[in-house]
Amino acid sequence: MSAELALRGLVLGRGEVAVLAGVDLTVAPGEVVALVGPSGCGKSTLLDVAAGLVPPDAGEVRLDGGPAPDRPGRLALMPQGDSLLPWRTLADNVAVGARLAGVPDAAARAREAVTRYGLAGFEDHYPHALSGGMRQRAALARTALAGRPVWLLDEPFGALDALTRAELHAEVADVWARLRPTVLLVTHDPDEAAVLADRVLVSGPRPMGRLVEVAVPEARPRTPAARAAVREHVMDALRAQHAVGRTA
Amino acid sequence: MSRAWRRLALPVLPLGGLLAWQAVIWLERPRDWLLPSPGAVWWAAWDHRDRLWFHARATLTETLVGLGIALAAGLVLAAGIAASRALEAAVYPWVVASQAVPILSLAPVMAVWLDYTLTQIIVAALLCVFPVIVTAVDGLRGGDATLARTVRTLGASRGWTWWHVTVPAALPSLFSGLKLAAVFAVTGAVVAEYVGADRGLGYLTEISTAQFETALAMAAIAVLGLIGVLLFLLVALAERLALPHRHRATRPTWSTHT
Repeated sequence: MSAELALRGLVLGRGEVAVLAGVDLTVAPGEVVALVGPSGCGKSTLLDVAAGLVPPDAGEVRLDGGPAPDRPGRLALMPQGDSLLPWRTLADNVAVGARLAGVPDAAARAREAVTRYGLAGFEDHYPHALSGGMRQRAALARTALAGRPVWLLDEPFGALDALTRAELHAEVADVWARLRPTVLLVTHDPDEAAVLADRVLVSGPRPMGRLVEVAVPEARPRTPAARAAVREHVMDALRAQHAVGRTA
Repeated sequence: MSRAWRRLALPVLPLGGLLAWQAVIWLERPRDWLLPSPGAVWWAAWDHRDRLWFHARATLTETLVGLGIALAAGLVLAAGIAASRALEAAVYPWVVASQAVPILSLAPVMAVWLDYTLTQIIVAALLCVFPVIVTAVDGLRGGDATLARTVRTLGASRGWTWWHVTVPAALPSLFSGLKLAAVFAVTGAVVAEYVGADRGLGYLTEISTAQFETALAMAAIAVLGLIGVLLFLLVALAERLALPHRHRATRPTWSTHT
């Protein structure tokens, strides 16, 4: 289950403010691309446009070379922070994506997934009774169960403590190895990009325009030394972009 | 404060009030029609229990029908206002402006046009529709945009998203409005009875005081208070049933929500 995701010349303004100023980006089938940029650079907006939630002023989103349907639904979004429905139990939340996708016996498969993602025994708990890590695990299970070929991740692990984040990084890498989705991950954390991504792109401050690809040694999973190298490259690129933003 | 202490705290105020009331009776010995004793009110309620029940039924009917109409009309209006900027611009300012007219002052005019019961129902409805509309609009508008965004990308239609995300997110706010509305509805029905009625607890209060049966009037007022509290508790119970996640860690067995 993979597809090629291509963003072509995306332009978007919000009132007087330009948010996207011609963004081009391609993610090959089954590839994980991280987009690193400072806060407020338009990362979340880019994902909204890619997901079909916001129509761009110019440019287009293409899936496997064809135009993406203008209705959301083929690309699954895993947003920042809490995205579980507070009034549904954990199992019901995990089932939402599968149920909407028309998967038969979604409820039973959701209960299986709850166990597989290490949440057994908490099926009937409401989200507020679970830790932040467990909630993000459930969000991950829900996204996986929805069976979308393209995943868009918006700083999904930003609000977690370091240990929980490391556990979830390992978990999400496993899930991707199994399901091979095409992934576009936006983050402001260079370490997260170094751990999870095949390729890393860096954006300057708003408006988001040309993206700079940084050199990434080794394939995943990387050694600590390789991760440190990626992190340095990302920081260098961010500094350079920031300088360009200030002189422009 | 521990649970047991809080339980003990609950009857302190009413018991203190009753004691002060009885103290005034003992010390001042006022005439019965001026200030009857708590015991006299109790016995008036017991002796006239059939009359009280008859009038309570009338007031309760007006209150509940008025509340029902306000709820139905208020929710439809609120859904429209929350969904459409055009409707909001056309309607919402007038909903707010209508509250500048004291609703109770409309009662005599309505009594000219309509029959008594209908007047009481409409006054009750007008008085309690405002909190329903305001809290429903705020609730429907105030939902977390991230939740809606996420389920939309999981393939939810706009309708599914509205019903399964926007509406549940609005319920806590709406229930606050409903609690206000339940209490306002009783007030509306009773005040409209003063204007013209041949039954109802407001009517009973009025004719009893006119005939110096103060004890019966006070008994009628006590029943009104009871009705108000009962309606409030009913809304609170409905809230607990509709929003189990606000009170518990796991899904209760009686919930069928999927």
